[in-house]
Amino acid sequence: MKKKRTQWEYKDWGSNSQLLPGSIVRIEGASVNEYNGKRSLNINQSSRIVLLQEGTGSSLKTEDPIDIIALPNEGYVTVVGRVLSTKNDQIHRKDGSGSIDVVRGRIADNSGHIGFLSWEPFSHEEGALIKITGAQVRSFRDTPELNFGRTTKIEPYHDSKFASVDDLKESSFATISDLRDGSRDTDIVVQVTEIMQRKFERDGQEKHLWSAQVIDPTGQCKMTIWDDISFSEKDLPVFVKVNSARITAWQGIPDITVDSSDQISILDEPAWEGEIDPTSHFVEAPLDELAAGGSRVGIQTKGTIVSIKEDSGIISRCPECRRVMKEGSCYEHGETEGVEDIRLRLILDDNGTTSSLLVNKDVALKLSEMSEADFKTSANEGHDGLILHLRSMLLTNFVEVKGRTIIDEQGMMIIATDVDIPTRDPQLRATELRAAWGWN
Amino acid sequence: MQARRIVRQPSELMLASEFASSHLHEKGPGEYDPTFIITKLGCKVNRIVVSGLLERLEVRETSNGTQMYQGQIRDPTGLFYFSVGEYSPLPLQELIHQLHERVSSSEPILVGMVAKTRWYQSEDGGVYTSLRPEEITEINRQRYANWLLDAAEATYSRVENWSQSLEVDATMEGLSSTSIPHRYHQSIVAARHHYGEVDLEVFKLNVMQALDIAEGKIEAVTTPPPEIRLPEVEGDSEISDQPVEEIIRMVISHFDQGEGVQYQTIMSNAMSKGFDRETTEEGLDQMIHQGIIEEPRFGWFVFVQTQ
Repeated sequence: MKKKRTQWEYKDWGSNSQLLPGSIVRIEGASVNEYNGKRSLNINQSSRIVLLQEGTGSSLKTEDPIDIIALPNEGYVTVVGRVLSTKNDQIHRKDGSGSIDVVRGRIADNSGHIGFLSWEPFSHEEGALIKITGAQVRSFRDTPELNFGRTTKIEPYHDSKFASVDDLKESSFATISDLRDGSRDTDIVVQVTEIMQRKFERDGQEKHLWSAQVIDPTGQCKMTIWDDISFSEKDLPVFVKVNSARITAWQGIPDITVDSSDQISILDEPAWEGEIDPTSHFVEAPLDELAAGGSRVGIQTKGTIVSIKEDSGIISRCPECRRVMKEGSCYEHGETEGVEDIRLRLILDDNGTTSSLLVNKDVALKLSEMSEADFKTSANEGHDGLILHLRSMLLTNFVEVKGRTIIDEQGMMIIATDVDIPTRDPQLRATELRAAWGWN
Repeated sequence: MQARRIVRQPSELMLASEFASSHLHEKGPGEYDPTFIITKLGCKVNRIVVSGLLERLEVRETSNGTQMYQGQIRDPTGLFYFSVGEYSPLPLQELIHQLHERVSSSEPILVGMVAKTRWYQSEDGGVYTSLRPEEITEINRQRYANWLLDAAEATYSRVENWSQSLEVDATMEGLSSTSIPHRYHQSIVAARHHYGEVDLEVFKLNVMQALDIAEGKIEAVTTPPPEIRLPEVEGDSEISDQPVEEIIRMVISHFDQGEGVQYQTIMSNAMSKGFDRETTEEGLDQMIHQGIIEEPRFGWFVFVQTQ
């Protein structure tokens, strides 16, 4: 049963300040307008608006400039920023009817930077400070971008205190934790910890690329270089500066994609103090911060276990793709002899954020204090008993989790490599809380 | 139009006093929109994590002839009421069934629970909160003590948010100038308009009580707090010669301050007069049957008002 929804547009002739996103209002004395078979509301100057519930949305007027870091993912905005780079480009029409000249580039203010795409001629050079009114924010994959069109107004802006190009370029370096699928023109400094050559064939010719594991203080990810490199495995670890890389992602793990070796320069000095050990490099982040960002590898977080899903326990995986099979059948490979495995599906909550938490066999055995044989026995004795046991071990417990996150339209999922229930001394904690609140 | 994705609602850790004292609710316009309770401390909850002593668990017949369990959980600050029916998941029903036998034999059981928040409105317009459990488990003292501290910390930060909100206008704009996390803004605005002035001292006291119990300062983790007792009458013997109905009548008339008297108060007073649980419950049932008393909400007894 689908209810039919009708969406009407409205015009506000009375500049009513209550009409903000998210507000619930009662409108009296509006008139209905019909044009080309489409109806809309006219809110007249004499109309009365009663605010029933205040909106949670922001009351941005497009004329007020906003910080780049605070830009919404969609919508019309005004931005003041300095041009960091520009480049003429062409977009080829999909139907093959020709191409359009565009200008791509990057603009920054003190809060951050963003790529732009101008569909109109754009003559401002690198370093120019400009005010852009009526730019449209559009998102490609996970990355927002400013679009300048015919209705966008761009004018020089004067502010002697505005940060210089060099300062802005310095701070426009990304970190692994802020990489987003679909980003372009990303500058980043990373430490290469592993590198290997992969061979592939294209048009009958053997070619190769370099696939690397990289790391920085905020996390780890992959890097793919479609060209030859000037260092080898024995030089590792190597610190490199990467310019104008594209960011792709596979299963949520960002991949810094480099097309030419010119984009990479080797640094003589380590970019940060102390060497990072990739095997124990887990960056701690609260759950709400993780949920607000993109997928990340090598994270550590904490929270409360609020659910043990009933499909936790022994599962059957497809031998080809490791997907969990349902009723002896894989989604992709059909009916097949599955491989038995153990995994737990939990929910972790913290500070108003919720995440799925997938736990592998080793961690499941540790948390449940059961052996593989115990799992099999309990499966034969009825699944409910196992679920009740798992809940008795885990439900409402505070845990520390290590692993990686996958963030997509389904929400957030943590694939755990370890889950730990720390021993906490209530007496000590109570004393600490009293001290923190000045209750002693 | 794009269908709105059903997202899981995050849970909050909450002490009984905050939940039980709340009566503002919110529901979106859509058929499947989640419902929320907005607490007196401006926290909007669809799901909460609670813990405490499983104090009462009873089987009730519903109007359509099926069975359901109603129960109450006590933490240092008050009671949570919950019900489990045949619509609840099977492992939960199974566990409740096991627990029922043990609670009936007066075994003290500590439980942890994740539950959806519910509210209902009585005929006189009062709004009452209750819980529909999703998952329950028995827990040990250690886990209970740590849950109490986690919940106390969460409550304390909500008290702090609330007092910070008093320095600005109760509007979204006012709150945006504070350091209160954004996710509380809308619910604090709604709560400030609905509840008006809130006595924060009560909640601070609750936090303190939770800390005391967690620390073991008060040996009350598995025993209910001291019950209010009827004044001792001279010559009162251990075994009363009065019928249990008379004791119940005395307890209700003595303690009822308008809301009714709690089951546990009646029970402990009757027991101190030598009546066992069964006899007292029979007495309660009898008096309800005779139209002398009624149970306007679960676990609370009042005299039937005569016209």
